[in-house]
Amino acid sequence: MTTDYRTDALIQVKHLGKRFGDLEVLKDINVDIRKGDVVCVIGPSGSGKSTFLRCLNRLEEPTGGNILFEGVDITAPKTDIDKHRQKMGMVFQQFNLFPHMTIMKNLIIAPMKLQGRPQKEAEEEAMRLLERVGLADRAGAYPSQLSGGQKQRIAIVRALCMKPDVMLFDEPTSALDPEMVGEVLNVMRDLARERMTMVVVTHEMGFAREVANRVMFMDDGYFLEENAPEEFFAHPRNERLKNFLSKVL
Amino acid sequence: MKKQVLALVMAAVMAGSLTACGSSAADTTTAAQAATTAQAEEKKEETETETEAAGDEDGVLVMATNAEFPPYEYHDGGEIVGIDVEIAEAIAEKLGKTLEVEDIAFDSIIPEIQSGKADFGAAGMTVDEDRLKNVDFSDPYTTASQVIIVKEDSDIAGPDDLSGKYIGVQLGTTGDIYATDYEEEGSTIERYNKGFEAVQAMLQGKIDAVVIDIEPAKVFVSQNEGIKILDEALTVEEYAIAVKKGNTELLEQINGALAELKDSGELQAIIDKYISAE
Amino acid sequence: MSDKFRADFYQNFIEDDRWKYMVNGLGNTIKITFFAVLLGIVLGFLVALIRSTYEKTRKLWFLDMLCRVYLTVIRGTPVLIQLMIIYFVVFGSMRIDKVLVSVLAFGINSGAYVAEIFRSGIMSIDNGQFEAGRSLGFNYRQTMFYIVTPQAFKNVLPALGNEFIVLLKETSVAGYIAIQELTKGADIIRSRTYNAYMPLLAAGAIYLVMVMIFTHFVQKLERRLRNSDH
Repeated sequence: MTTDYRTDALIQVKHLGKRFGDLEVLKDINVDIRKGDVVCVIGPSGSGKSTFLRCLNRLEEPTGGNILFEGVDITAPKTDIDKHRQKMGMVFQQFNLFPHMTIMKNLIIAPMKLQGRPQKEAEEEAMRLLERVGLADRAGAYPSQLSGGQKQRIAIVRALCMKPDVMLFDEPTSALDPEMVGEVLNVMRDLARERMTMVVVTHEMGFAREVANRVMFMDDGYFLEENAPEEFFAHPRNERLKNFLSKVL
Repeated sequence: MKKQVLALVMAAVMAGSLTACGSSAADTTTAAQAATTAQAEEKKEETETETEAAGDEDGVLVMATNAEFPPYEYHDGGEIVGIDVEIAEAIAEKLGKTLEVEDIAFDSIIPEIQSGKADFGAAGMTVDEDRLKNVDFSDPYTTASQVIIVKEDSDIAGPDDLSGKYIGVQLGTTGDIYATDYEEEGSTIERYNKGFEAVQAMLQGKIDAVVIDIEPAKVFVSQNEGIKILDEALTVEEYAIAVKKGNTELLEQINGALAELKDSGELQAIIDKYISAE
Repeated sequence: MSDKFRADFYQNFIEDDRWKYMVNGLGNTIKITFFAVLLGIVLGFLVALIRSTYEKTRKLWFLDMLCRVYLTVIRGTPVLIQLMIIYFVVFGSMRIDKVLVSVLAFGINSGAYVAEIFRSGIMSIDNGQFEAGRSLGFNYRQTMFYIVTPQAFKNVLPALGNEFIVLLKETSVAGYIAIQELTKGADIIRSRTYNAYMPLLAAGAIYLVMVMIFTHFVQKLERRLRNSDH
């Protein structure tokens, strides 16, 4: 096993491959994500970017390569992936709040059951985070009583309650009505400002340009280009990226 | 008001389903019959003039029985045969009618007669007071005993030993009625739908004794190892034919036919045919 | 007419304390139904978990196969046959409490139907719920327990209530193993009085009332659960 673990690399992806039957979705992905990085992954639909993100916490099982998280190979067969997932928050396109629980219950169930935190402490922490996203008054509501933007902010808070070391966002604004996109991006912007390590699969080019420190373009199962946002958007080199940007900008 | 409507609806639904069961599930055999057309015609006229007449207009007598009670009535090949069936055939012949046998659950026989679906019931039935409230009985045509079957190594030696025991019976039979008296003495009565199931339960050690009519008891004992009939019977009783309450005409006709059969020795011949002398 | 009714009523229920056959029978019917429902839920829940785990993860294939055999056999044969087999064959040469035999037979039977109800409920929960649970760090079992099954239960409650109504009424065949439940109680009275209508109507009415009471509570529970997420 290779041991070139650099202290500032939170996640190291090496030769990651994923195939669904005959379909090769990810082909030899190599990338390091450092502490405090805000990485935006963009690319056409079907390019494999969501699959890449879902491989990082093994919601999709990689079919090749390794992923090291905080120096531990989480793709090794004996890894207790549940332990590592507690440190990797994830936010889904469809929010996936638990509809049978109140907002507060959604937020405290994992910290209480998985980290053994006392209910009072977990509730205080949850309340603090709810206040930050402006939803403290909805603690007793059920998810069905919330708007899409509110749901997604709650979903972010739910992941944050586990005090993760990295946050994975899978197209967090794609299912939202346009007027609600801003409130969710604001929360993410705040997180980035606090130096939270984030990997964001998104179509929000403005957000990528403004908040990310690295933007990566994926197509056909490869990362074709990576750069700092100004350079990435101002001087794209790869032909496919130029083509893609010309369509979305 | 609501409840009455409900009860009516339920009664209608249940009556409907009972009829459906009765006609579809019943085994019907038609006995060959030497009646002349003239006799039948004659009968027909009689039937039409009398309100509580015997039998159907077409000269058919319907007998309700439960053909799980050898040797009185049981299935043999595709036919229902037995002592009761042959006696009923002889009676029908005397009355110039065709006999139809309907095989139904024992405890449905009397409702069947009451509702007029069957003309009479012959199923090894004993005359008792409760039954007399609902049907009329003919003169007895034979005697039978309720006996006790036990395992050969049983500590039960007679009726007195039944106290506190588990006693198996066939639901609704005379044996059931008599055995129920032992409930007061701490016995548990298990009422099976079929006599042989009670015997099987005893063979498996689930119950201590079976109370049942002597004739089927003999059959069960001959077919199974390790069980016996106790010498002392629980009761001795008489079997008779049941008809709808108040149908005195049919009752008299049956009694008349029975008397003739007794006098001619025909009745005894039928019984002897099925029950070998001990 | 009403005199006849009164006389029939007296003969069928009052005389010789015949009402006791119905009351004792009702007691056994309730006892059998209650414990069979419990057994059915436990069995059905386990089988559903095994089956849906196999469907989701391809694990537990051997247990899944056993479960499928169980479902096929139980759903493919009449409960009466199963009851008789358990009484006369499985517990062949022994004295055994017949209420227990009935609870086993009806519970095992009901478990098969409950299992399929639960399984369809589990499979109807959006996979995103499952992924959200796993992404927080819950393992498979915890995700099932805290997140998937509570939602599944709510979805299948009407079907489950229906299954228990069927079960309650099906216990009427327990009389075949000479157990004295409600229907048998009516049968015993019928065999004594030769009156078909009174005992049958009474037994039918008692079943009906029980089902109506039960339905009422299921609907109440449904409403309460539904209110909790709207």
